[in-house]
Amino acid sequence: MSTGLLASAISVVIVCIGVLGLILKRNLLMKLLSLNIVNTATILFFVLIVYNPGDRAPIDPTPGVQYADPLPQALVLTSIVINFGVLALSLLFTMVLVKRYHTLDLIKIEDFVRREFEEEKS
Amino acid sequence: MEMGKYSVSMKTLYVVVIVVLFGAITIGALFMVGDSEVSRLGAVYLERSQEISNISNAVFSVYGMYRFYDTLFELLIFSTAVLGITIFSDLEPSIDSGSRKPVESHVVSASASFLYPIIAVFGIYLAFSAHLGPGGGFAGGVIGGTGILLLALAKGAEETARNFREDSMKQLEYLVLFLALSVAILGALYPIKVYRDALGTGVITLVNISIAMKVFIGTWAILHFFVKHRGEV
Repeated sequence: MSTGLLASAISVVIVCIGVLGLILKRNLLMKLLSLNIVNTATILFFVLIVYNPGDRAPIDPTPGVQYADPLPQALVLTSIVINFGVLALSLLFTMVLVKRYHTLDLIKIEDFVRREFEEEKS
Repeated sequence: MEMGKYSVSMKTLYVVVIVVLFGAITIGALFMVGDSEVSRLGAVYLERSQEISNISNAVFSVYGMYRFYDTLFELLIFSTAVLGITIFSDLEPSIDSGSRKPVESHVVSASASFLYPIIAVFGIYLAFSAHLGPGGGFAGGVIGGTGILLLALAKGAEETARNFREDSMKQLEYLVLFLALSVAILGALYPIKVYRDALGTGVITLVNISIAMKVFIGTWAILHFFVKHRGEV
């Protein structure tokens, strides 16, 4: 089993941990942290599936020399920026929710919202 | 209690489904990684980027030319996030930090004014030389934003915001987005002509500078929002 093989299996396991945290944790900040873990593991996976010892950096490519794959590097760039934007916006919404309901517990927030909705209806 | 029992069993079901799904993906990935045909996804980009002689950095030729739509919509998502944060920043009451400095240290304030020009020049250099070597618009913009964080630590966030004229910067941000959009349309229609023959390096530098400005302003807007609502850096 090569290093890349083992390491990509590890990265998939880390994605699994993050998704389980997204489902099982009730705290909103913990959910965001789990989302970040998923993103980091995705980046790890992209880095590892193209890891090949002896490849040169893909700068000024000439035929006949083995270069690293440029595509995952460009995709990782996208992933990092989007994760930054998503994290900032969801932290903002968490701040708004906490200011309104004074709790980070998602089930309590859902209860509050449901009660408000029913009061509005009646 | 019935309701509680129901939600717990649904949750268990979700967990089982997720674990099975990711187990399948793991096994698939194990087969995929060993296969050199699948793992070298971008070999065709590497070959094609040799046609265009004034771009040495193959990573830039992927995100700046062949997959520019990726980059463009990434910028759109980023500016949507910044727009949301700017709107809420006006709605929510902020905590006034006054002119209080977050770090009372002569070393930090002296080294910040010395280091910031170097950091800014390095960020601009990375943005300008993205097509020649390692670097790029994103890296340059983030480096500039990190430099501003250093300034905010040393001089206080409010004074830094005043020095950087935030209002005109926000207008500049959308101008820059429009610039990237127009270059993208041109580049999608006539890729070789735009990137190599007619305008060449000028267009490439324009794209990188606009990406760097966008990321720089966005990073600072997000940072300033969280500083304003926390009261300190």
